[in-house]
Amino acid sequence: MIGDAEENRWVQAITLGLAMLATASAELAIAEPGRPPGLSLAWAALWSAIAVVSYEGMRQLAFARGPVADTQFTARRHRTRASARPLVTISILVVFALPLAIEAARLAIWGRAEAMEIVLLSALRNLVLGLAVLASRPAFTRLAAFASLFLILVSTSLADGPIAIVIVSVYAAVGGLWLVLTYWRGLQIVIVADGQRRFPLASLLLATGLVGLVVLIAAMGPARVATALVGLVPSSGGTSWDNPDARGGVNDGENEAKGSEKPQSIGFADTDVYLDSDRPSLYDAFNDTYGEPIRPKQQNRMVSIGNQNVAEQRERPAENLRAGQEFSTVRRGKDTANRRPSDREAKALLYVKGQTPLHLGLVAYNRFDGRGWQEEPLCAADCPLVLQPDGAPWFRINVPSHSHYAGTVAHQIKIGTLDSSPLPVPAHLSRFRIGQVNRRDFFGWSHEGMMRMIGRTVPSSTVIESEARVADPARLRKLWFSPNAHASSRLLTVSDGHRITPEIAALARSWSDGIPRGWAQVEAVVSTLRHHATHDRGTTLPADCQDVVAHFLLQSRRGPDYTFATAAAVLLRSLDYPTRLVSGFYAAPERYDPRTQHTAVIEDDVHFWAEVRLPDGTWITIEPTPGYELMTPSPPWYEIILTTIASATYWARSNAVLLCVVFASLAALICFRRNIEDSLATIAWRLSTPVDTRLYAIAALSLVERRSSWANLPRPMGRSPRRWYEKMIPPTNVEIDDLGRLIHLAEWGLYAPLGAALPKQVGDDDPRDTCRRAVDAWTVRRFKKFDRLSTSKELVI
Amino acid sequence: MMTIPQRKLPSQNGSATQVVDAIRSTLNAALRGKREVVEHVLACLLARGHLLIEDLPGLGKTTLAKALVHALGGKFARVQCTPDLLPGDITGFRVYDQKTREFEFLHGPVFADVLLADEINRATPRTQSALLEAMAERQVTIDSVRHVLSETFFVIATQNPVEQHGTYPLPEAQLDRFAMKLRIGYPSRDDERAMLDAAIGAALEDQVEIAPPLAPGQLRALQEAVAAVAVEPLVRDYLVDLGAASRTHRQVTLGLSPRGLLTWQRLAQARAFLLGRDYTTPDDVQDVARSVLEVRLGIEPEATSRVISEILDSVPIPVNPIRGTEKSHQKHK
Repeated sequence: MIGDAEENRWVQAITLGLAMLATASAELAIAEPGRPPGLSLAWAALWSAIAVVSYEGMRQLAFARGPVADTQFTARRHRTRASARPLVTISILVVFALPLAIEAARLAIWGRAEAMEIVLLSALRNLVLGLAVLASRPAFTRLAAFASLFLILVSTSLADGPIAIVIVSVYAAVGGLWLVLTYWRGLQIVIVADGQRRFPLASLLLATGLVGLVVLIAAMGPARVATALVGLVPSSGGTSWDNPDARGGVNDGENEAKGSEKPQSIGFADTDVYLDSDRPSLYDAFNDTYGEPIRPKQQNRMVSIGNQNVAEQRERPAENLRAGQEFSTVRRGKDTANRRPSDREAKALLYVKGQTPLHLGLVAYNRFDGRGWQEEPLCAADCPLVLQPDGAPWFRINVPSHSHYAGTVAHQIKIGTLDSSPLPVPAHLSRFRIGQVNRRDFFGWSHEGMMRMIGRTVPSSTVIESEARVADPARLRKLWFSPNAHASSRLLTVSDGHRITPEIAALARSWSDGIPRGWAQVEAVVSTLRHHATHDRGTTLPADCQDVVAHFLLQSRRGPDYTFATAAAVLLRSLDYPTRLVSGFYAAPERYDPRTQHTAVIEDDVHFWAEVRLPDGTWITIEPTPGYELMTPSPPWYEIILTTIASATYWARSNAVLLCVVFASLAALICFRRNIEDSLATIAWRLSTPVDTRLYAIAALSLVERRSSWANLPRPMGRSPRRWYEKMIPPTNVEIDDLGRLIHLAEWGLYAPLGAALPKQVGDDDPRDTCRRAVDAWTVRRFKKFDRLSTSKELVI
Repeated sequence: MMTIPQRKLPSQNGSATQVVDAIRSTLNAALRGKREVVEHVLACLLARGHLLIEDLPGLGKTTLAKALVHALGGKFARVQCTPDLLPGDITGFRVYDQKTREFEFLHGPVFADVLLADEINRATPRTQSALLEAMAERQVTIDSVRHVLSETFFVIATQNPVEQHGTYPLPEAQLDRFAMKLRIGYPSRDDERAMLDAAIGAALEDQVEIAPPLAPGQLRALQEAVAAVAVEPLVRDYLVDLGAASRTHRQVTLGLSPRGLLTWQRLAQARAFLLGRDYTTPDDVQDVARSVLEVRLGIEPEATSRVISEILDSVPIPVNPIRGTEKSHQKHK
C-alpha cells in the first residue's frame, strides 16, 4: 500500500542514530556515581547493537514478505500487516514495561528495588529503541524521534560530565539533519516530480542550529529549564514510596548522607571544606597544629541555615561513616518536615576499595619464646618519604624497586571506627596520600615496611589512598637464597630461650625434601602446612603448653590462624629463613559489597600471618592459614589473551576431528544452502501431488519462482510471472518453452473459472508432464547463469 | 470459487475471431506500425467505452477515427469543435415547420453510431457537457423529451495537447466518461518510409472505400461476448487493490472512481477477449492500465508515467489461489 510506504533509508538510519544517542545519554544518567563513563557508553553500544540487529532483522523479514519472494496474495499481505500491528504495539509495550516488571520482581524477591527514575529511564530507553527498530514506517520514525528528544533532554539534565554535553551537541546536529531530511522528503514527494535534487544546505544548517539551540538551552541553560524537565520523570523520593538509595526527588534516601538535610554533618572527607564535628578528625589535628584553614566564600552561601535549623544545632550533628558514599557539596533547599538526624555509625573498622584479598599489616612480632611473640621494636630507620611535587600531596616511599614485583595495585582504605596509630596499608607501599596532608614528619616506620602516624592515631573518616607493589610468586621462585646466609642473623637468635625441637626441624626438612633452597621451599612448607592442620578459630591451646608449635603440629593439628602463622614462622626458621609474625586485618573478598563497591573489614577480620625476609631485605607475606589467600598479581592483558589462545588451541587439537567435521559440514551447509533448500522444496513438491491439475501447476510455478529468487532474480511483486520470466526465455522459444507453458498453465489455474478449457498454448501434452519438465529444466543454476549473462538492471527496466 | 454463468464464448466461435481480425487489419492498414494502439482501440470498442486520442497534429488521430468508422459501418457523424459550437449543434434541436405548423426535431450528430468529436477541447464547457449524458447513458434529453441513441454509440474525441490558446481543458467528470486516453506517437523510420511509398501515385487517400466487415448488430454481439469473459475473484481483488492504491498514492489528487474501476474491468475483459482467452489475467489488467488511468487520475502531466508505474508496482500480483478463495468466501458470506 502506498500509505504504508517505506520511509527513506537515510531518515531511518538517522532515527536509529538519534535513538542511540539518547540511549547513551540515558545510560550516563542511569550510571552509579563513579562508574566510568566508558562503561556506560559500552552498555549503550550494546543496546544499540541489539536495536540495529533487530532493525535489520525486521527489514529482512519485510523484504522476504514483501516485494521479493512474494508468492502471497495481496489480501494476505494486508491481513498480516493488519494483524501484525497490534502485535508490534504489544511487543513495544512489553519492551517498555520490562524494566518496570523486573523492578517489581526484585522488590518482591529481595525487597530492594532500583531508584524509580532509573527504572523509568530504562523503560524510556527501551521504548525509544523499540520505536527506532520500526523506523521503516513513517509514523514510528516520527514517534521514535520525539521520544528520543524527550529522553535525551531528561537524561541530560540528570547526567553530568563533559560526555553528556558532547552527546547533546551531536544529538542536536543529527536532530537537525533529521528534521531537514523528513521535511525535504515531504517536499520532494509533493513538489519535485523528478530529478532536480539540490541538497538544502542552508536549511540544513538553520535547522541544526535551531535544534541545537533548544537542546543546549534545555541542557545547559538556566537551571530551572533542566529542573522542570527532570520534574517530568517521577523520582524515587516520592511522597508515598521510599527508597534508601534515592538520589533525587522529594527527599534523599536514608542511605544518602544526612548532610543533604543538615549541612553540619560530615562524611568521608577528601577536602577540608567541612564544618566541624565534635569527633576529632585528621583535619582537626591539622587545624590544631596549623590553625583553621581559610574557607572559600561560596561556603557561606552553600550552608546558609534557616532559623529552625539554628535552633536545632544543639544536637550533635549526624555523621555518615559508611563507605561508598560521598559528601555532596550541592545542596537542595531546606526541608520543612525536619527529621531528627541520626548517626550512621560505620559498621566496620575500615573499608577497602580495590583488589582483594588484601593483608593490612599493623604490628610485627619477631621474638618467640615458645608461647608468645614479642612485638618488634619500633623501626628507628628514617622513613624515606618524598612529597611529590605535583599538586596533590602524594608521598612516595623511596625504596628501591626489586625484580620480584609484578606491578602495582591501588587501594582506597577508609577508616571507620578503627583507632590505631599504624596505618592500615598494604605491604610494599610505593606511595600514598591522606587528604591534603603534606607534612612528612607526620609519618614514620612502625616496623620495617609498615607505616604509622607519629604521635596520633588515624582518625575515623580518614581516606587513605595507597599504591603498593605486588610480589610475584613466579619471580620469587627465581630468586637466589644463599645457604645459611642468615644463620647468624639476629632474627634467629632472638628466640628468648626457645629452641626448635628436633621433631619440628625434621618435619620441616621432610616437607621441603628434594626441593632446592629458595622460595619454592618456602612455598612447599606453607602449602603442606595448609593441608597438615585444620583451621578452627574456637580451638585454644592448653594453659600449660610450653611449646605451642610442637603441640599444634604434632598433637592437635587444629587451631586458629595465629597457630598456623607461628608454626610457619618456626618451621621456616628451622630451615634458616628469617621470618616474623604479623597481625593486622584481612580484607576478605566475601565481604565485598557490590552496591557500595567496598569491602568491609570488621573485627572478625583480625588476622595473623607470617612474613619471610628476602636476601634483599624486603618482607614477603606468606599465608599459612587455610581459607585465607594472598593477593595474586593480575596477569597483564596479553598474558590473558595468550592463555586463552593456548587453551583454545589445546582444546581444538584434542577435538580436531570433531572440529573439522563440524566446520566442513557448516561450510558445506553455507555453500550449498540454496541447493539444499531447493532439493528439499523440490522433494516436497514432488511428494505433494494434488489431484487438481490447477494446484499442481500453481505449486510448480511457485517452486520455480522460489528458485529464481534464490538465484538473485526475485520477481518484483507488481510484475506478473509471465512478464518477468518471458525475458529469461530465449526469444525464439517463448511459445514452446516449458516455462512459458507452465506459466500459461498456472495462469489458467489461477484466473480461469472452473470448467474452463486448457489454454491452447499449453499444447496437447499432459499438463503435469509440462510442469515436471519445466521444474526439471529451470534449476537455480539456470537462473544464476541468466543472472550472470544479463545484468538484472536490464530486467528491472 | 465464484463461477460466472457460462455462455457460449465468442472465442470458440470462429466467426467472431474473423470479424475482429478483419477490423484489426483495417485499422492496421490505416495506421501503420501502431499495432499496440490498434489493440487498445479495439479493446475500447469492444468494452463499449469511448475513446479520447491525444496527440500532436498530423499523427493520424482523425485517420484512425475514420478508419474505425469505415470498419464498423453504420452511421458516422463528425463534429469539428470550435468555441462557437453550441450544445444544440451536437444533440439536435426543434424547428418550427411552416408547412405542418408543428415543431420538428432535427437529429444532431449524436444520433450516429460513431461520433468523431475533433479537437474536443476547443469547444466551450457548455457544449462539452452536452456530450456527458450522451456518452454516459446513451441518450439525450431535449426539451424534457428523452431520445435514445444507438446501442453501439461510440465517441472518438481527439485533442491537441500543445495548443493552449482558445482551448477548454476537459473537466474531470467529462474525462471519466472516456474509457481510455491514447497517444499515437510518431511512426518508426521503416513505417514512415512505407507510408511515403504508399502515397506515391495515390491521388486521394480518402477515396479508399472498403466494405465494412461488420454486419449490423454484430458489434453488439461482440460487446456482449466481451462482457461474459470471466474475471475470477483473485483478479477482481487485484483490481480493487489497484483502485485503492491509486486513491492513496501521495501524488494523485483524484483517485480512481468506481465507474473507472468498472471500465477498467471491462477493458481487461476486452483485452483477454482480443487475445483469444475466455478469462482475464492480471496481465490484461496491466496492459490497459496506462490508458485507463491516464485519462482519469489527477496527476501532474509530467509525473503521470512514473506514478502509474508506482501504483502498478505497489500492488502484488495475486499468485496464491488459496488466500484469494478464502477472502472471496469471506466476502460473500
